[in-house]
Amino acid sequence: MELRAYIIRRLLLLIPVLLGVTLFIFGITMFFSPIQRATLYVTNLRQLANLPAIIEQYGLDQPLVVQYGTWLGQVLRGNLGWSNVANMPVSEAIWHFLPATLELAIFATPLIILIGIFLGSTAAAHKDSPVDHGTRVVAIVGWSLPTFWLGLILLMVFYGYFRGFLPPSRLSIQMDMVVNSAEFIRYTHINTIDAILNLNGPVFLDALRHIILPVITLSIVNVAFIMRLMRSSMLESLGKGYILTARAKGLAEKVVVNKHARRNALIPVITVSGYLFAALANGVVITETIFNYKGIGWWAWQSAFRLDIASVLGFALFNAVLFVLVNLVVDILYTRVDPRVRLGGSVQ
Amino acid sequence: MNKRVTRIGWIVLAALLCLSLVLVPGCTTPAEPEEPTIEIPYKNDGMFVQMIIGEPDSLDPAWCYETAGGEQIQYIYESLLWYDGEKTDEFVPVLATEWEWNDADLTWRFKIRDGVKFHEGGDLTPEDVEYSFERAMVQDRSGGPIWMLFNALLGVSSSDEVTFADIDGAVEVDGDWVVFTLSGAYYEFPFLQILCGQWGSIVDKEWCIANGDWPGTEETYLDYNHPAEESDTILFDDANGTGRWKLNIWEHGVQIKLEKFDDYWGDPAPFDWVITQLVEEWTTRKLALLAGDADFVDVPRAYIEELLDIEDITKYADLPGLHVDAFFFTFELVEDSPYIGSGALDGEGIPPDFFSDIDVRKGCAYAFDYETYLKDALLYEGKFLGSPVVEGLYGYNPDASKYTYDLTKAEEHLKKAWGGELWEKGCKFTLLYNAGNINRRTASELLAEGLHRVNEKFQVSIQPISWGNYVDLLLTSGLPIFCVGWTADYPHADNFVVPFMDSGAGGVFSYFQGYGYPELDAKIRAAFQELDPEEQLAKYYELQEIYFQECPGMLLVQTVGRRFYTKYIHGFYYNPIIPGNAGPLWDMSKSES
Repeated sequence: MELRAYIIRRLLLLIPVLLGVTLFIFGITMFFSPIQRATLYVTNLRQLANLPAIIEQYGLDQPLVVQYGTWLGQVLRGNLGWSNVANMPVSEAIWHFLPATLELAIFATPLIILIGIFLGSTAAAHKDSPVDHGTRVVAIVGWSLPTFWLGLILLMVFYGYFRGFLPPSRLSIQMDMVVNSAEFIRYTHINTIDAILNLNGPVFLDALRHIILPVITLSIVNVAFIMRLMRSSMLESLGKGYILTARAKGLAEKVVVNKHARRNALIPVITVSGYLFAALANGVVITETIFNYKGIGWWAWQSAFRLDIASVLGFALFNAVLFVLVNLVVDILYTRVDPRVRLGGSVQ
Repeated sequence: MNKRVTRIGWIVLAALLCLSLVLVPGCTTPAEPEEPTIEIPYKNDGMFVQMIIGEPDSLDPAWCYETAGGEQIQYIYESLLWYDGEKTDEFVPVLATEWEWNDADLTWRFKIRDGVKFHEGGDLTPEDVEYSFERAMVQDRSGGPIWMLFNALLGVSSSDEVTFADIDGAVEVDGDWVVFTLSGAYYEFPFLQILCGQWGSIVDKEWCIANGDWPGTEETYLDYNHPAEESDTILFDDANGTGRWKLNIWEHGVQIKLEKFDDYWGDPAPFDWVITQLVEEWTTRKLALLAGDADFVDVPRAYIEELLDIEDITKYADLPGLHVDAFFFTFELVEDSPYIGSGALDGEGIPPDFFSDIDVRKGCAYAFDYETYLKDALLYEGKFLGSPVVEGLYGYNPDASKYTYDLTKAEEHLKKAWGGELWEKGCKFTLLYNAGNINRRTASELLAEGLHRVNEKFQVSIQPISWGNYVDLLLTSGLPIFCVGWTADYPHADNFVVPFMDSGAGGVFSYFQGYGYPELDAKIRAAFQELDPEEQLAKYYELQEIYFQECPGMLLVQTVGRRFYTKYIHGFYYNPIIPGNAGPLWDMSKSES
């Protein structure tokens, strides 16, 4: 199938996905009474008497169809509503919080993939040896560690015990002032990238120093997944006939593993890596909260907790678009890695 | 076979290693813990950095009705006068240099200070003062704080009850003076307290109008009346005040940075920067404090002990807040409330008017273990109260009658309740609290346990629900007893007596309880309107006694708070009416010595 037609078809499929997701969320919110949803707007008890007016103002007592239709109409005009959690329009809130999460995802994803691939292929190449068992135990232990516990321990050690060596937040106060000054241009609001684009070494190093702990936390917790997948895939690959042929031809084991086996074993890992990036870009609430790295996960959690429906719906839209796009990219990449696979899912 | 044995061997070895890591420390006698010797480094010279858990809704003085925003507003803006240090009933000049009361025409006149600059360069004039108050009354957002100005100036609750001419006439300029006409002589003193709130902040008229705010005319005032959203007002996240600090940036959800205003009219700001960061996680805040990256952090009560032994932290304790939590009995429940069991006095439920019987209420009040609540829920950070008027308020009676934990008296009242039928048959109902609120859960458990101890036939179950659900049930009279708190708007007894006892919509709690009656409302008005200070106190004391005798609610405690700063912060003093936690930064300082 031609690439362009394939992409268009996949993007068109986005529309029913978005409608379905948002309708589903809207349906769930209808389980909450109008008063419950109106409490989002109450900051002190004197406002309780005004709740009927608030309900009327926001149409919270209208039928589902009316409320959904009103919301959809606004979305089609580019208005995703107001985020009470973020104190700004929902569309702005997404772009406001996304860079922090993207920054975490950009640093964590390659690390997780590279370590996972390395550990998985090493384990497979030394199957049933102490190296194999050891890497599996380490990976499983990492997978089992609760994120909040690991994050707090790392923070207590590297920020507390080592007196601020690796601090939380995105930047120090001093570098934050630099970044918010007129001389510094915020191209992406991703501090490391902006620092490079502004040729500002101190900001880059400061941003790096602040991102180390959350990235390590995410890596430790998620590497096992890639490692296990890579190990299984490598073992399957190493059992194929062409590997036997390669060995019979006298190729060095390193060449057999790295050049022949690993390349084919990477295919499922590529698929999963895409989802991994999407999942991280979706927001990692606990990590963002513990390290005060306010990203889209923190915003989504706060919005859900406080029944900020407009924000929840906006996040759902963003989420759906993200996963569809990631799926698309992965599918296209797949055909590049494995020439046998054609767009549309057929294998030749 | 050999490989399998080897594999099993490795697995067993790994398991034994993990087990030993757990068991060995558990089997040995732990060494005596060393005293913590944490030295907090001095950082961020010239900056005050605080980490808190709540963000402002708005920086608009006419909109903001919560403490996080109120704190920032009071750093950025100024009012005509301010409280004198720790006092809540004496004032010092700020943007007004002097003020005069006129008994004859019920006016307060304020002479406006000369030579004051706004952050954006404008000069303060009496017209700015007039505009600030008229703007606030024109805006009058739903559920906002401006009812206080309407009460004091026009004797009404909102702009819906008056015309523009009334608003315009309430505040006038007379040369260098601004004149406020009050609705009654009894507002003479409380009005000064009202002016000190963030809603009394002075804005720059020209700048506001130039940036799209109300032009100050009658023709346009309805366009700016009752704004729907915070962002509908231009001062939502933009500011132009006369305070020692000006707004540098508000990164929503992240931080607010205030920068020293070099053209301030008075003593210069003690800090070049005031940075407020939103950090929800306690451990992160604590580590920042100990690393010197924060000078002040919010410390939840449960974690106080973690900071007590650290010498480099200065602690201020026993700070009574103008806040009280209480149980409120619902006098007439909705008949289909799922929390009243059978809905009848048959031992399997309670009737909807169960708490209308005064002996039921008094029985509950005597069955509550106040001491245990103070110890377990509040770690002794509280004071018992006999009335809604808390310590620190004008009108507080230190000798007010109080309920105590007395099962004998509880039994006495509960035996009389409902003609003895309650004691014989028992009752069953559910106490609800908003999920996550540990204090209210503890209070509910103590009340349930106390009632059960008095008579085993009294079965009270406890259930957490979401805050939204809780409010829903409160408004629809579905909660047999509800537990909420109240914080002062201004430090006067009326600000507590009305919500607790007035039968009208101003009686926030009594209104939802179904408590209150015209004679009591009249006494409340009379107390507030009494001009003789001694007589007024006597009237408030009488109201407090009525609350005790009629027992429409069970007052738990007035909470006391604490503050933790690094040792480098000096000059803190406590005034309970100052919003937020960081304190009077304008009088504080930071130095390494």
